[in-house]
Amino acid sequence: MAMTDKILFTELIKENKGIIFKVCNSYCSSKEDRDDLAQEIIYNLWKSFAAYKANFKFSTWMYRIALNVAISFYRKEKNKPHRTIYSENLLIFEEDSTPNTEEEKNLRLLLQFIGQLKEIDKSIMLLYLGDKSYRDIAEITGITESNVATKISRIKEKLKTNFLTNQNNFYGTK
Amino acid sequence: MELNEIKSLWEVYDKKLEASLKLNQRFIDLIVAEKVRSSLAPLFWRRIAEGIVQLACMAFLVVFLCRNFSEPAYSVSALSLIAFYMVAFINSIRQLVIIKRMDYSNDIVTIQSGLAMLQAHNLDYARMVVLFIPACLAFPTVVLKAIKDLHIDSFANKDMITLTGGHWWTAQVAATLSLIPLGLWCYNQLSYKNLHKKWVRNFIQRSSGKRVRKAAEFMKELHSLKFEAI
Repeated sequence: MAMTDKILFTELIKENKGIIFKVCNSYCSSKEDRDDLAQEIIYNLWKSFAAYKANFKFSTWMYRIALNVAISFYRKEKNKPHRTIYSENLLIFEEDSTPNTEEEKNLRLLLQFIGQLKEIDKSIMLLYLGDKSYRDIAEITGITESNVATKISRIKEKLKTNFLTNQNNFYGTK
Repeated sequence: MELNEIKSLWEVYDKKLEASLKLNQRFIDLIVAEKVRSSLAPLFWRRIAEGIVQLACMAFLVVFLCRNFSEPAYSVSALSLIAFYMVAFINSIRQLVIIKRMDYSNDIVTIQSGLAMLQAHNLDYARMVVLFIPACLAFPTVVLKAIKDLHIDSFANKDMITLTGGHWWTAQVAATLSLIPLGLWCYNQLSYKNLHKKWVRNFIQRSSGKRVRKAAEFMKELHSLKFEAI
Protein backbone atom coordinates (compact mmCIF):
# COMPACT_ATOMS: atom_id res chain seq x y z
CA MET A 1 0.00 0.00 0.00
CA ALA A 2 1.22 3.52 -0.80
CA MET A 3 2.98 5.61 1.84
CA THR A 4 0.28 8.30 1.58
CA ASP A 5 -2.36 5.70 2.47
CA LYS A 6 -0.39 4.70 5.56
CA ILE A 7 -0.10 8.30 6.69
CA LEU A 8 -3.77 9.00 5.98
CA PHE A 9 -4.83 5.84 7.82
CA THR A 10 -2.74 6.71 10.88
CA GLU A 11 -4.22 10.21 10.96
CA LEU A 12 -7.80 8.96 10.66
CA ILE A 13 -7.22 6.42 13.41
CA LYS A 14 -5.82 9.09 15.70
CA GLU A 15 -8.77 11.38 14.98
CA ASN A 16 -11.27 8.62 15.76
CA LYS A 17 -9.46 6.81 18.56
CA GLY A 18 -12.36 7.57 20.91
CA ILE A 19 -14.61 5.25 18.88
CA ILE A 20 -12.14 2.38 19.27
CA PHE A 21 -11.85 2.97 23.00
CA LYS A 22 -15.61 3.23 23.57
CA VAL A 23 -16.26 0.02 21.64
CA CYS A 24 -13.46 -1.85 23.46
CA ASN A 25 -14.56 -0.54 26.83
CA SER A 26 -18.16 -1.63 26.25
CA TYR A 27 -17.31 -5.17 25.13
CA CYS A 28 -14.38 -6.01 27.42
CA SER A 29 -14.03 -5.77 31.15
CA SER A 30 -10.28 -6.30 31.54
CA LYS A 31 -7.47 -4.06 30.30
CA GLU A 32 -5.74 -6.99 28.54
CA ASP A 33 -8.88 -7.92 26.60
CA ARG A 34 -9.45 -4.27 25.73
CA ASP A 35 -5.95 -4.03 24.28
CA ASP A 36 -6.32 -7.31 22.38
CA LEU A 37 -9.59 -6.13 20.92
CA ALA A 38 -8.14 -2.73 19.97
CA GLN A 39 -5.33 -4.50 18.09
CA GLU A 40 -7.81 -6.70 16.26
CA ILE A 41 -9.98 -3.71 15.34
CA ILE A 42 -7.07 -1.64 13.99
CA TYR A 43 -5.76 -4.68 12.11
CA ASN A 44 -9.14 -5.17 10.41
CA LEU A 45 -9.52 -1.45 9.70
CA TRP A 46 -6.16 -1.46 7.96
CA LYS A 47 -6.99 -4.65 6.05
CA SER A 48 -10.19 -3.08 4.70
CA PHE A 49 -8.81 0.42 4.25
CA ALA A 50 -8.01 -0.05 0.55
CA ALA A 51 -11.71 -0.72 -0.08
CA TYR A 52 -12.85 2.31 1.91
CA LYS A 53 -14.75 4.80 -0.22
CA ALA A 54 -14.46 8.45 0.74
CA ASN A 55 -18.14 9.11 -0.09
CA PHE A 56 -18.93 7.07 3.02
CA LYS A 57 -18.34 8.84 6.36
CA PHE A 58 -15.18 7.43 7.93
CA SER A 59 -16.68 7.16 11.42
CA THR A 60 -19.64 5.15 10.04
CA TRP A 61 -17.32 2.77 8.21
CA MET A 62 -15.14 2.55 11.30
CA TYR A 63 -18.10 1.77 13.57
CA ARG A 64 -19.16 -1.07 11.27
CA ILE A 65 -15.78 -2.74 11.41
CA ALA A 66 -15.10 -2.02 15.09
CA LEU A 67 -18.49 -3.34 16.21
CA ASN A 68 -18.29 -6.43 14.00
CA VAL A 69 -14.85 -7.27 15.35
CA ALA A 70 -15.94 -6.53 18.93
CA ILE A 71 -19.03 -8.75 18.78
CA SER A 72 -17.08 -11.67 17.32
CA PHE A 73 -14.23 -11.10 19.80
CA TYR A 74 -16.71 -11.03 22.70
CA ARG A 75 -18.30 -14.27 21.53
CA LYS A 76 -15.05 -16.20 21.42
CA GLU A 77 -14.33 -18.77 24.10
CA LYS A 78 -13.22 -17.44 27.44
CA ASN A 79 -9.74 -18.33 28.76
CA LYS A 80 -8.30 -17.95 25.27
CA PRO A 81 -4.66 -16.94 25.23
CA HIS A 82 -4.05 -13.24 24.65
CA ARG A 83 -2.68 -12.43 21.24
CA THR A 84 -0.99 -9.22 22.29
CA ILE A 85 2.05 -8.92 20.10
CA TYR A 86 3.34 -5.87 21.79
CA SER A 87 4.23 -5.68 25.47
CA GLU A 88 3.26 -2.02 25.84
CA ASN A 89 -0.37 -0.90 26.02
CA LEU A 90 -1.99 0.11 22.78
CA LEU A 91 -4.64 2.27 24.43
CA ILE A 92 -3.37 4.60 27.11
CA PHE A 93 -6.09 6.13 29.24
CA GLU A 94 -5.93 6.80 32.94
CA GLU A 95 -9.35 6.38 34.48
CA ASP A 96 -10.22 7.95 37.84
CA SER A 97 -9.91 5.19 40.41
CA THR A 98 -12.69 6.67 42.56
CA PRO A 99 -15.32 8.88 40.99
CA ASN A 100 -15.71 12.10 42.98
CA THR A 101 -18.54 14.10 41.50
CA GLU A 102 -22.14 12.98 40.95
CA GLU A 103 -21.51 13.29 37.21
CA GLU A 104 -18.51 10.95 37.36
CA LYS A 105 -20.49 8.42 39.39
CA ASN A 106 -23.37 8.54 36.90
CA LEU A 107 -20.98 8.18 33.97
CA ARG A 108 -19.46 5.10 35.58
CA LEU A 109 -22.94 3.67 36.13
CA LEU A 110 -23.92 4.41 32.53
CA LEU A 111 -20.82 2.60 31.23
CA GLN A 112 -21.57 -0.32 33.56
CA PHE A 113 -25.20 -0.55 32.37
CA ILE A 114 -24.16 -0.37 28.70
CA GLY A 115 -21.62 -3.13 29.39
CA GLN A 116 -24.45 -5.32 30.69
CA LEU A 117 -26.56 -5.03 27.51
CA LYS A 118 -26.75 -7.84 24.92
CA GLU A 119 -24.18 -7.67 22.09
CA ILE A 120 -26.41 -6.15 19.41
CA ASP A 121 -28.19 -3.84 21.87
CA LYS A 122 -24.80 -2.57 22.99
CA SER A 123 -23.91 -1.74 19.36
CA ILE A 124 -27.18 0.07 18.81
CA MET A 125 -26.75 2.13 21.99
CA LEU A 126 -23.15 3.04 21.17
CA LEU A 127 -24.24 4.22 17.73
CA TYR A 128 -27.20 6.12 19.14
CA LEU A 129 -25.06 7.89 21.75
CA GLY A 130 -22.44 8.51 19.04
CA ASP A 131 -25.09 10.69 17.34
CA LYS A 132 -25.81 8.36 14.45
CA SER A 133 -29.23 8.73 12.81
CA TYR A 134 -31.71 5.83 12.77
CA ARG A 135 -30.95 5.39 9.08
CA ASP A 136 -27.19 5.16 9.76
CA ILE A 137 -27.79 2.70 12.61
CA ALA A 138 -30.00 0.59 10.34
CA GLU A 139 -27.29 0.59 7.64
CA ILE A 140 -24.51 -0.30 10.07
CA THR A 141 -26.44 -3.03 11.86
CA GLY A 142 -28.37 -4.44 8.89
CA ILE A 143 -31.76 -4.26 10.60
CA THR A 144 -34.74 -2.18 9.56
CA GLU A 145 -35.19 1.42 10.73
CA SER A 146 -38.41 0.53 12.51
CA ASN A 147 -36.69 -2.29 14.39
CA VAL A 148 -33.90 0.14 15.31
CA ALA A 149 -36.45 2.59 16.72
CA THR A 150 -38.16 -0.14 18.74
CA LYS A 151 -34.84 -1.42 20.07
CA ILE A 152 -33.64 2.06 21.07
CA SER A 153 -36.81 2.85 22.91
CA ARG A 154 -36.57 -0.45 24.85
CA ILE A 155 -32.90 0.08 25.69
CA LYS A 156 -33.60 3.65 26.88
CA GLU A 157 -36.33 2.34 29.17
CA LYS A 158 -33.99 -0.31 30.49
CA LEU A 159 -31.26 2.23 31.22
CA LYS A 160 -33.74 4.52 32.97
CA THR A 161 -34.99 1.63 35.10
CA ASN A 162 -31.42 0.62 35.94
CA PHE A 163 -30.59 4.14 37.12
CA LEU A 164 -33.80 4.32 39.12
CA THR A 165 -33.22 0.92 40.75
CA ASN A 166 -29.68 1.93 41.61
CA GLN A 167 -30.89 5.20 43.13
CA ASN A 168 -33.57 3.41 45.18
CA ASN A 169 -31.04 0.85 46.41
CA PHE A 170 -28.65 3.64 47.37
CA TYR A 171 -31.23 5.61 49.36
CA GLY A 172 -32.78 2.42 50.70
CA THR A 173 -29.53 1.34 52.28
CA LYS A 174 -28.75 4.79 53.67
CA MET B 1 -32.29 9.67 34.64
CA GLU B 2 -33.76 11.19 31.48
CA LEU B 3 -32.48 10.70 27.94
CA ASN B 4 -31.02 14.20 27.63
CA GLU B 5 -29.05 13.58 30.84
CA ILE B 6 -27.70 10.30 29.43
CA LYS B 7 -26.68 12.13 26.25
CA SER B 8 -24.93 14.88 28.16
CA LEU B 9 -23.09 12.27 30.26
CA TRP B 10 -21.89 10.74 27.01
CA GLU B 11 -20.64 14.13 25.85
CA VAL B 12 -18.63 14.44 29.07
CA TYR B 13 -17.16 11.00 28.36
CA ASP B 14 -16.26 12.09 24.80
CA LYS B 15 -14.47 15.18 26.11
CA LYS B 16 -12.54 13.15 28.68
CA LEU B 17 -11.39 10.73 26.02
CA GLU B 18 -10.49 13.55 23.66
CA ALA B 19 -8.34 15.11 26.36
CA SER B 20 -6.46 12.14 27.70
CA LEU B 21 -6.75 9.04 25.47
CA LYS B 22 -3.58 8.15 23.60
CA LEU B 23 -2.84 5.46 21.04
CA ASN B 24 0.53 3.78 20.94
CA GLN B 25 1.95 4.95 17.62
CA ARG B 26 4.52 2.13 17.45
CA PHE B 27 1.77 -0.47 17.34
CA ILE B 28 -0.04 1.28 14.47
CA ASP B 29 3.28 1.31 12.63
CA LEU B 30 3.52 -2.48 13.07
CA ILE B 31 0.00 -2.93 11.69
CA VAL B 32 0.55 -0.82 8.60
CA ALA B 33 3.85 -2.63 8.08
CA GLU B 34 1.62 -5.75 7.90
CA LYS B 35 3.41 -7.66 10.63
CA VAL B 36 0.18 -8.76 12.33
CA ARG B 37 -2.00 -11.71 11.31
CA SER B 38 -5.77 -12.07 11.47
CA SER B 39 -7.29 -13.99 14.37
CA LEU B 40 -9.28 -15.94 11.76
CA ALA B 41 -6.04 -17.45 10.39
CA PRO B 42 -5.98 -20.45 12.82
CA LEU B 43 -9.60 -21.24 11.92
CA PHE B 44 -8.70 -21.16 8.22
CA TRP B 45 -5.87 -23.67 8.75
CA ARG B 46 -8.11 -25.91 10.88
CA ARG B 47 -10.59 -26.11 8.02
CA ILE B 48 -7.74 -26.88 5.59
CA ALA B 49 -6.64 -29.73 7.90
CA GLU B 50 -10.22 -31.02 8.06
CA GLY B 51 -10.45 -30.93 4.27
CA ILE B 52 -7.22 -32.96 3.98
CA VAL B 53 -8.57 -35.61 6.41
CA GLN B 54 -11.83 -35.77 4.44
CA LEU B 55 -9.92 -36.15 1.15
CA ALA B 56 -7.78 -38.92 2.71
CA CYS B 57 -10.94 -40.77 3.84
CA MET B 58 -12.40 -40.42 0.34
CA ALA B 59 -9.17 -41.71 -1.22
CA PHE B 60 -9.23 -44.74 1.10
CA LEU B 61 -12.87 -45.41 0.21
CA VAL B 62 -12.20 -45.10 -3.53
CA VAL B 63 -9.40 -47.69 -3.23
CA PHE B 64 -11.74 -49.89 -1.16
CA LEU B 65 -14.46 -49.46 -3.80
CA CYS B 66 -12.11 -50.45 -6.65
CA ARG B 67 -11.00 -53.57 -4.80
CA ASN B 68 -14.53 -54.66 -3.90
CA PHE B 69 -16.44 -53.38 -6.91
CA SER B 70 -17.78 -56.82 -7.81
CA GLU B 71 -19.41 -57.26 -4.39
CA PRO B 72 -22.45 -54.98 -4.21
CA ALA B 73 -22.71 -55.05 -0.41
CA TYR B 74 -19.27 -53.47 -0.11
CA SER B 75 -19.45 -51.19 -3.12
CA VAL B 76 -22.85 -49.75 -2.09
CA SER B 77 -21.55 -49.18 1.47
CA ALA B 78 -18.38 -47.52 0.19
CA LEU B 79 -20.38 -45.31 -2.18
CA SER B 80 -22.66 -44.08 0.60
CA LEU B 81 -19.66 -43.25 2.78
CA ILE B 82 -17.99 -41.45 -0.12
CA ALA B 83 -21.18 -39.38 -0.45
CA PHE B 84 -20.98 -38.60 3.29
CA TYR B 85 -17.37 -37.39 3.11
CA MET B 86 -18.06 -35.52 -0.11
CA VAL B 87 -20.82 -33.50 1.60
CA ALA B 88 -18.48 -32.85 4.56
CA PHE B 89 -15.71 -31.77 2.16
CA ILE B 90 -18.02 -29.38 0.29
CA ASN B 91 -19.05 -27.94 3.65
CA SER B 92 -15.40 -27.36 4.60
CA ILE B 93 -14.75 -25.62 1.26
CA ARG B 94 -17.85 -23.46 1.81
CA GLN B 95 -16.47 -22.43 5.21
CA LEU B 96 -13.07 -21.61 3.73
CA VAL B 97 -14.79 -19.34 1.20
CA ILE B 98 -16.70 -17.60 4.04
CA ILE B 99 -13.45 -17.04 5.97
CA LYS B 100 -11.63 -15.73 2.91
CA ARG B 101 -14.46 -13.40 1.96
CA MET B 102 -15.04 -12.16 5.50
CA ASP B 103 -15.34 -8.41 5.16
CA TYR B 104 -16.00 -6.66 8.44
CA SER B 105 -17.18 -3.54 6.64
CA ASN B 106 -20.46 -5.30 5.82
CA ASP B 107 -23.44 -4.82 8.08
CA ILE B 108 -23.37 -6.41 11.54
CA VAL B 109 -26.21 -8.91 11.06
CA THR B 110 -24.68 -10.29 7.82
CA ILE B 111 -21.17 -10.65 9.23
CA GLN B 112 -22.25 -12.01 12.60
CA SER B 113 -24.52 -14.58 10.92
CA GLY B 114 -21.51 -15.78 8.88
CA LEU B 115 -19.30 -15.94 11.97
CA ALA B 116 -21.95 -17.72 14.03
CA MET B 117 -22.26 -20.22 11.17
CA LEU B 118 -18.51 -20.83 11.35
CA GLN B 119 -18.78 -21.34 15.11
CA ALA B 120 -21.70 -23.70 14.66
CA HIS B 121 -19.68 -25.86 12.24
CA ASN B 122 -19.96 -28.94 14.48
CA LEU B 123 -23.72 -28.64 14.28
CA ASP B 124 -23.44 -29.22 10.51
CA TYR B 125 -21.61 -32.48 11.25
CA ALA B 126 -24.26 -33.52 13.77
CA ARG B 127 -26.99 -32.82 11.17
CA MET B 128 -25.08 -34.79 8.52
CA VAL B 129 -24.68 -37.74 10.85
CA VAL B 130 -28.43 -37.89 11.50
CA LEU B 131 -29.11 -37.54 7.76
CA PHE B 132 -26.96 -40.62 7.22
CA ILE B 133 -28.72 -42.67 9.92
CA PRO B 134 -30.47 -44.76 7.20
CA ALA B 135 -27.02 -45.78 5.88
CA CYS B 136 -25.77 -46.66 9.36
CA LEU B 137 -24.74 -50.22 8.39
CA ALA B 138 -22.33 -48.91 5.74
CA PHE B 139 -19.69 -47.84 8.25
CA PRO B 140 -19.22 -51.18 10.11
CA THR B 141 -19.50 -53.02 6.77
CA VAL B 142 -16.56 -51.12 5.26
CA VAL B 143 -14.45 -50.99 8.43
CA LEU B 144 -14.79 -54.70 9.26
CA LYS B 145 -14.04 -55.70 5.67
CA ALA B 146 -10.98 -53.46 5.58
CA ILE B 147 -9.71 -55.01 8.84
CA LYS B 148 -10.47 -58.49 7.53
CA ASP B 149 -8.40 -57.74 4.42
CA LEU B 150 -5.44 -57.08 6.71
CA HIS B 151 -5.56 -60.83 7.50
CA ILE B 152 -5.75 -60.39 11.27
CA ASP B 153 -6.75 -63.83 12.62
CA SER B 154 -9.17 -62.60 15.27
CA PHE B 155 -11.13 -60.71 12.57
CA ALA B 156 -11.13 -63.59 10.07
CA ASN B 157 -14.92 -64.11 10.17
CA LYS B 158 -15.97 -60.73 11.51
CA ASP B 159 -17.36 -59.03 8.44
CA MET B 160 -20.93 -57.75 8.30
CA ILE B 161 -22.05 -60.29 5.67
CA THR B 162 -21.02 -63.18 7.93
CA LEU B 163 -22.33 -61.44 11.05
CA THR B 164 -25.79 -60.92 9.49
CA GLY B 165 -25.89 -64.60 8.59
CA GLY B 166 -25.87 -63.86 4.86
CA HIS B 167 -28.88 -61.56 5.18
CA TRP B 168 -26.92 -58.34 4.77
CA TRP B 169 -29.20 -57.00 2.03
CA THR B 170 -32.34 -57.71 4.04
CA ALA B 171 -30.83 -56.02 7.11
CA GLN B 172 -29.61 -53.07 5.04
CA VAL B 173 -32.88 -52.49 3.17
CA ALA B 174 -34.93 -52.89 6.37
CA ALA B 175 -32.66 -50.50 8.30
CA THR B 176 -32.62 -47.94 5.49
CA LEU B 177 -36.37 -47.96 4.84
CA SER B 178 -37.31 -47.82 8.49
CA LEU B 179 -34.77 -45.12 9.36
CA ILE B 180 -35.33 -42.73 6.42
CA PRO B 181 -38.24 -40.90 8.09
CA LEU B 182 -36.29 -40.62 11.37
CA GLY B 183 -33.15 -39.31 9.62
CA LEU B 184 -35.06 -36.69 7.61
CA TRP B 185 -37.14 -35.60 10.60
CA CYS B 186 -34.08 -35.21 12.85
CA TYR B 187 -32.21 -33.35 10.11
CA ASN B 188 -35.01 -30.82 9.76
CA GLN B 189 -35.48 -30.45 13.50
CA LEU B 190 -31.81 -29.83 14.34
CA SER B 191 -31.73 -26.19 13.40
CA TYR B 192 -31.27 -22.93 15.30
CA LYS B 193 -34.87 -22.18 14.35
CA ASN B 194 -36.02 -24.95 16.70
CA LEU B 195 -33.96 -23.93 19.73
CA HIS B 196 -37.17 -23.23 21.64
CA LYS B 197 -37.58 -27.05 21.81
CA LYS B 198 -35.82 -28.41 24.86
CA TRP B 199 -34.65 -31.66 23.21
CA VAL B 200 -33.10 -29.76 20.28
CA ARG B 201 -31.22 -27.48 22.71
CA ASN B 202 -30.04 -30.49 24.72
CA PHE B 203 -29.04 -32.47 21.63
CA ILE B 204 -27.03 -29.57 20.19
CA GLN B 205 -25.27 -28.98 23.50
CA ARG B 206 -24.48 -32.68 24.05
CA SER B 207 -23.39 -33.43 20.49
CA SER B 208 -21.52 -30.21 19.71
CA GLY B 209 -20.88 -28.39 23.01
CA LYS B 210 -22.08 -25.28 24.77
CA ARG B 211 -20.24 -22.91 22.44
CA VAL B 212 -22.08 -24.27 19.40
CA ARG B 213 -25.41 -24.06 21.23
CA LYS B 214 -24.68 -20.41 22.05
CA ALA B 215 -23.70 -19.71 18.43
CA ALA B 216 -26.99 -21.29 17.30
CA GLU B 217 -28.90 -19.12 19.77
CA PHE B 218 -27.14 -16.05 18.40
CA MET B 219 -28.04 -17.07 14.83
CA LYS B 220 -31.66 -17.28 15.90
CA GLU B 221 -31.49 -13.83 17.50
CA LEU B 222 -29.89 -12.32 14.37
CA HIS B 223 -32.46 -13.97 12.14
CA SER B 224 -35.31 -12.48 14.16
CA LEU B 225 -33.63 -9.04 14.15
CA LYS B 226 -33.32 -9.04 10.39
CA PHE B 227 -36.54 -10.64 9.27
CA GLU B 228 -39.14 -10.13 11.98
CA ALA B 229 -40.80 -7.12 13.51
CA ILE B 230 -39.59 -6.90 17.11
